[in-house]
Amino acid sequence: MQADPDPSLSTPTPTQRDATQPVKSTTATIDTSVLCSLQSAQLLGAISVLFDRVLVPQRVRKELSARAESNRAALSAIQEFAFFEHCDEFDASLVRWLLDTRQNLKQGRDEGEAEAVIQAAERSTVVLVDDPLGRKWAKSHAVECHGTIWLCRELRFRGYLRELRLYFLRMVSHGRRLPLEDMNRYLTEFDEALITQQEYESALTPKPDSDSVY
Amino acid sequence: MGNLLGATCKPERAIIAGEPETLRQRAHHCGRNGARLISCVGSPVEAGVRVFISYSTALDQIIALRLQTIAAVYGMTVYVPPANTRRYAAPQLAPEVLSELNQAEVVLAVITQQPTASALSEMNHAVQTGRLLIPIVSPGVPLEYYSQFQPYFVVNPADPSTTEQEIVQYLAGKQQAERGKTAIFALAIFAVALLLLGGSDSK
Repeated sequence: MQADPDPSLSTPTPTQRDATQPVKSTTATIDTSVLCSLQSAQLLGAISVLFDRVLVPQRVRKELSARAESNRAALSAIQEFAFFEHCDEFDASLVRWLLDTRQNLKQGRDEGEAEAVIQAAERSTVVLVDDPLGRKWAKSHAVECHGTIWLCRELRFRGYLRELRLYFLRMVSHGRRLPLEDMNRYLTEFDEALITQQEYESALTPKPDSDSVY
Repeated sequence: MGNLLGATCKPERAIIAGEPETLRQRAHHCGRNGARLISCVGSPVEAGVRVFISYSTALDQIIALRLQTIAAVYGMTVYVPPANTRRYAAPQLAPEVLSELNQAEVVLAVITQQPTASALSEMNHAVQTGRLLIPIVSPGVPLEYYSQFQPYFVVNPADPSTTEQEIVQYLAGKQQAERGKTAIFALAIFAVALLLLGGSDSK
C-alpha cells in the first residue's frame, strides 16, 4: 500500500510554501515508517540539520523491536544518534481514544502513529509520519505533519543533498513504498530525471540480499 | 530550526567552497548548535578526503552530525563516532572507532565542554599517529580541557575572523592538508560558526 500524498503538495509551489509556512518547531516526534525509510536512505543523521531533537515514542521502539532482525540498523541508529530521544510520557487514554475512532479496529495496528500524534500534540512538536491515517489524526489535532519525501525535499532544497533521485530509489529498493507521483513531483522541481513506473517496480522487487522492512 | 535567516536557499547557491562569509551564512542555515558515515553524491569539490569528527560529549554530537551533513555536500567522507561511545568511562577506543580513526587524514575535534575519556583518546591517538588534528574550542571552556592539544583554536565571538585566519595559517603549513585543503578549511569554518551560534542562541 502506498502512503498518502503529502498534503503540502497541493499548494502551488514548494518555494512559496516554504516562505510562508516554515517548520515551526525544532523538535519532531517520529513514527516507525519515517524512521525506517530515512534509515534505509542513510539520512537519519542528516535530519539533524532540520531538528534539534527527534522524539521516538515508546510504541515506535516496540514496533522496531518486534522485528528486530530486519530493523537492526534503525534500532542501532536511535542508540547512536544522541538527538534521538526516547519519550515515554503521554496520556495513554488519548491514544486509546484515537485508536477507537478507527473504522477498522485491528488490534496492534496504527498504535505507533497514534502515540506519535498524541505525543506531538502534547509537546507541540512536528510529527513525522507517512501513514494516511496518522496524517489525518495529525490534521485533526492541528499538529504540523510531514513525511519522508518532504524531509528529503527539504534537505535538497536547503542544499544538504545534491540530488533526490538516488535517495528515493535507495528507499524504494529497501521496500519502502513511497508514492511515486509525489517523488516525481519533487524531482520535477529540481529538474531531475523522473522515476518511471518500470524503475519503481523493478526497485521494489525483493533482492536476495536486501533488508526487509518494517 | 534549519534556517535562522528566515529564508530558504537553493542548493546551487549554497555549494560554494572556501568563501568564509558564505560559509558562515550556510552554518546559520544549519541550525543553532552545530554520526555515522555518509558518502557524498554528485560532483564534489574535493572528493575523497576522509575526516573524523571528535566531539566532547553526547550532547555535542548534533554539531558533529551537522558538520558531517555539510561535509558530504563538499565531497568529504566524514565519520562521527556513535553517541554511546561517550558513555564509556574507559579510554579504550571501540574497534570501529579506531578503524575509522586510522583511515582518517584529518581529525576535527569540537570541544564545547570537558571531553569524555573516549574523546580524549581519539585526540591523543590522532596526535600519536601524526594525523592532522584541528581542535576547535567554544569560548569559555577551561584551558585544562584542551591545552595539551596544540595548536587549538578558541572561537572568539567578538571577532570570529581571527580564528578563521589562525586556521588558514595553520593549514597553510601542513602537508597533510594538501589534498582537499579548501574543503578542510570550509569544514573548520563551519565548526567555528556552529559553535558561535550554539553559544549565542541555544544555551
